[in-house]
Amino acid sequence: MRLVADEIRPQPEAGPAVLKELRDEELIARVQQGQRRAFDELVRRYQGRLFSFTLRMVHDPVEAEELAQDTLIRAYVHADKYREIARFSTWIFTIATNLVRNRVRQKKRRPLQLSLNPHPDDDEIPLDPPDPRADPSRRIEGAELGSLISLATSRIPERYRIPFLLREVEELSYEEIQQVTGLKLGTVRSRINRARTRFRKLIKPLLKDESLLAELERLEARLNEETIEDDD
Amino acid sequence: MFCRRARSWISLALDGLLPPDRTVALTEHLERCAACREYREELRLGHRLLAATRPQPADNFSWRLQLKLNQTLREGARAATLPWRQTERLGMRWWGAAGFAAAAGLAVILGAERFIPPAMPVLRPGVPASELTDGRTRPAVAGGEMPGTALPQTTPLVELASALPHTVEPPRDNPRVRDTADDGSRTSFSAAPASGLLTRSSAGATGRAVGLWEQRSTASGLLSREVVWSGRSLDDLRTINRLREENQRLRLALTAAQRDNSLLKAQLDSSGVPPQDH
Repeated sequence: MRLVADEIRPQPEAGPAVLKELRDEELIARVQQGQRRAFDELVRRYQGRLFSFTLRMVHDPVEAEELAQDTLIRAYVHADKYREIARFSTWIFTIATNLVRNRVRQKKRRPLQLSLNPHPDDDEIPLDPPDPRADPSRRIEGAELGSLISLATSRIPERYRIPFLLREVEELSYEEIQQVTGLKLGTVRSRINRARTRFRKLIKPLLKDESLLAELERLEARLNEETIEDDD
Repeated sequence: MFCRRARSWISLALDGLLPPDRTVALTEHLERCAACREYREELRLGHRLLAATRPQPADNFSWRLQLKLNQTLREGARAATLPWRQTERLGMRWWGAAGFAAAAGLAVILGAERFIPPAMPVLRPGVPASELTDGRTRPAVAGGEMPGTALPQTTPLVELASALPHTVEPPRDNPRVRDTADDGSRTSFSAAPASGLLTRSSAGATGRAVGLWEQRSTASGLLSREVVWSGRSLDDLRTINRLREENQRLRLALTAAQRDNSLLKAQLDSSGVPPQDH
């Protein structure tokens, strides 16, 4: 374990404004020198990404938060093990993926755990969203849309879901996903393709809802505004 | 082109990984096949939906992370400053063996110039040879031992001013040194773990205490005295100093981590966010 004593050596630390301009790899190099503020900036950048990844894998907010925090703690404690032969995002998502896999494996060994999936034997049953013809005024709101998408991802098998989320949401390249998962490149490619096909089949009923596109555009606009605010 | 192949190519094309010749073939297929065009649009929508509905962590995520991190660091610092007696026993055994070997070597070196090959311990009258080779201590008989000292568990050399030569084979693993003083008294040294001292010194030392047991035979009888030698080499002392400095650094880090923890707890309390147990 990295010695805490390394932290108390006096180091010239950069201010928050300077840290925001640095790349992830430059930040982790400063963490290796003992700069805690550099780590705070990495937390700010990755806490959302890691939490969304772990939540979509384990579907329990408490566990997802624990996994995301454990990932960041391990990244801090073992920062000296990072080498710039891979991107920092690849390295940290490798840690997250390993923790998630361990947790999923532990859950499988506990057969008495209840499943919230009403159709545990069939992951291909499409979602059953409310029928817009029954109440035309009813629109799919953001939170409901989020939970429907989350339900759809939960029905993708775990071995497909990891490369799928890393590609679709985290936008890691195929080679990076190969490094994170340890799979062959061809396997990564085929699993992403299969996951996309399955996801599309699951959300197809949603896509018939006319209000969906409007809600999607509203959510995207809000995200763009938040991104601009963060940059400022 | 069949739609099944086209759809696998669509997946690669969305990631910008489809080779140019296949891109041309796929474009031509999509111009003719409405189902595959719809498939491509549905994949794009799925991508947008995943990005737009990304779940966000709770507002106090980073605070709880900092608390957990400080706790982890504190536990790590505490584990690194555990007293020696709680460290890996295997390491202690290694140090013990190394210390004993160092002590035995030092005893040999100190008396090397006066070392007499294993010729023969002289028996005390009345003490059979077999009792000398069984490695057990025997309470001092004639001449006695100084009060308060314990005899080491080894085969002591026993000499008398008036000696009778006997051919007793000394233990091979017990180096011995003999010294004959000018006054005719003879001093014998035998390196061995000193009983009672081993336990006391193992808690803090990097090497075991090695007892040197001196037995001096004089005209008036046999006198024995235990001389304790720590068995610490210069390297051991350097190691002790280095570890003490590291211990001090870790203690300072622990204090700093505790201070940070108190500050974060105060901030958490003042924010009105209910605490969460980990």
